[in-house]
Amino acid sequence: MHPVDTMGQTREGAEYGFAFLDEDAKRELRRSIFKAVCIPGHQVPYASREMPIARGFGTGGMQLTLALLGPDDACKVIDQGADDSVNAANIRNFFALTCPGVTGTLRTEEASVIQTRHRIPELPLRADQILVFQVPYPDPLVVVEPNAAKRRRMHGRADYARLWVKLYEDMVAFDEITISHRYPTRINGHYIIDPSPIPRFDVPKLHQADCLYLFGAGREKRIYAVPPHTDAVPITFNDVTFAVENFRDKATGKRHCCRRCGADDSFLDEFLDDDGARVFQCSDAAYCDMRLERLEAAE
Amino acid sequence: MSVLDLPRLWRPATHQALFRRILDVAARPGQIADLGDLLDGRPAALAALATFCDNTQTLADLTGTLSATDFAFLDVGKATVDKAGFILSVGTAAPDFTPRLGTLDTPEDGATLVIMVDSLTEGAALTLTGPGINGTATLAPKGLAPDWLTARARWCADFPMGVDLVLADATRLTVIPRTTKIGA
Amino acid sequence: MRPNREDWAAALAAADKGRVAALADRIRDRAQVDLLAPPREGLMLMQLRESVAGAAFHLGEIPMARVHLRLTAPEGVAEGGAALMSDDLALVTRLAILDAALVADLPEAPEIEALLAEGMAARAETQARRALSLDRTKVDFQLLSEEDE
Repeated sequence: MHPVDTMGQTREGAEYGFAFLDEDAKRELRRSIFKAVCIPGHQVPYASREMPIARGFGTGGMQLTLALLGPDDACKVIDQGADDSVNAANIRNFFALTCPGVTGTLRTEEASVIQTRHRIPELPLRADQILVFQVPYPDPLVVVEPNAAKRRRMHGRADYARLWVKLYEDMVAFDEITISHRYPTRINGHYIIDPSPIPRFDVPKLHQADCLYLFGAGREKRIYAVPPHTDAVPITFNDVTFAVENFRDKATGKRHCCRRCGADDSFLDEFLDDDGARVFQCSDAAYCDMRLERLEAAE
Repeated sequence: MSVLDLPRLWRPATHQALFRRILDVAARPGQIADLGDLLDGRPAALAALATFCDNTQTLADLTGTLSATDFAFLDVGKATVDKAGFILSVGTAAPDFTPRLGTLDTPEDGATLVIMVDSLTEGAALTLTGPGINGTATLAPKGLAPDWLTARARWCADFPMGVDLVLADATRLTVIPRTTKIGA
Repeated sequence: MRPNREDWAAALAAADKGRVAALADRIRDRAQVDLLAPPREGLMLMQLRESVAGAAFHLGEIPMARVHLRLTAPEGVAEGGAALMSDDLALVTRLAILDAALVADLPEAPEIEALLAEGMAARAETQARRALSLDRTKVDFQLLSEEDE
């Protein structure tokens, strides 16, 4: 697919249109990504460009992915674990249109670059894979400090006292830390990041992983990274352990399983089926499909 | 592009491939990226600069090896070594300067030093630990004066401020981010 | 007659694209062309000055492409360049080749001059048409203070 100008005529010099962004924009993104990896957890500012979708729909993640992609890549895009939601499908189509050679894939294990909204795939990612997060709010301090310059100063000095106080107030008021997603996570003992709205279930996957995690906030114009084999610790108190969603049935005490593939180790979406019964299903569609395929093959 | 062919080192497709390999080793200090197939005989250090430099950046060339044409193609501003965002140097010349270290608020302003060494594998082994490294990693650069490591330790003493190093021999490079701890 | 050099690119961009491309490619094929800087294409901020206080402001981002090269032909050597509000790098590269060819006074110069004249005419026509449609929107304000005088 060649880029088309407004007159509807296909232009020459089409390779300059590879990955939609101009080369200056990609180079700036690459510089920012490089510094983000060198300073784990630090929010590096960058000039977020206008994209053909509105800010807030994943433009930060898209710009990162476009700065990474080359014609040999296989790219997967998920939204809350699913490849087929409108947002994910359209972003994947956009990459296919603007990056000739890049293959779109639904399979986690085939992808070299995965762009995600709000989930980390169930299959552990390998060293040769990069996970790109779409981030709505990059700064975990925004709940305790409205002034951006002051937040930057607090980050630089690793001054997170007010965030701790916020967590403590949670304990006093509710007897537990009430943050369900976007759990503040300390990277390499210094910066605390907002890991984007992934559930608590996914937060431990950031810690000492094999793959590189990149975070892009298009509206807030920030890029940050968690390199592989880096400490990523959800902040909590010595006497309050960090707990992830356990999907245990309150009555039986047993863990719910996926109604499709029977998985008892995945993050589950809960909903009502046509008969009004509560059912659970893997949020990671590719993982669910892979398990189903294996079960069918085993039969 | 269709009208004129650029030398391989300056093509956008090359920059993308270079960036992915550089990113890969930046995320995993101690690992070495082989750029040989992308260089057409040009030095790996120049390839690193080509990946990152443009007319919004500044470069201090302490080696004097960059030609006027290279500078034109890098399209990068010249700056003194204490102000430059990128510094090109040789490993055998001990550093007698202080590069940009950034500030606590803007540590990303710390300079990127591209240091040309004789080899990345034939020298005395250094032990690396830190983010990106599973346990420990080793790196054996040859032609890197010990003063570089002393100076780097001083520059990177106040995290998050510091500098990030790119060590390059003829065709390969490796990255030592400011977070990496270097032991003998 | 040649217009000023700074108007060449704009004039040629307004001339027939096919003939501009054919001529530039013919010159490229018989001469040696070396790029002197990487061809750049992207968005840049356009700075203007407002007319009251003369303060600078950014109107917005515009697409911009620029090429700088050296043309070496048997008849002469010249540097050429073009920068255009466009994202068509192929076109801008060809304009830079023609720019150099005209500076070097290659045998193709009369052909380039013909294209220049054609482009200038096309531009003049466009400008006249625009001026006309703008003219219709012009309003004369009569100030109250003027009536008193």
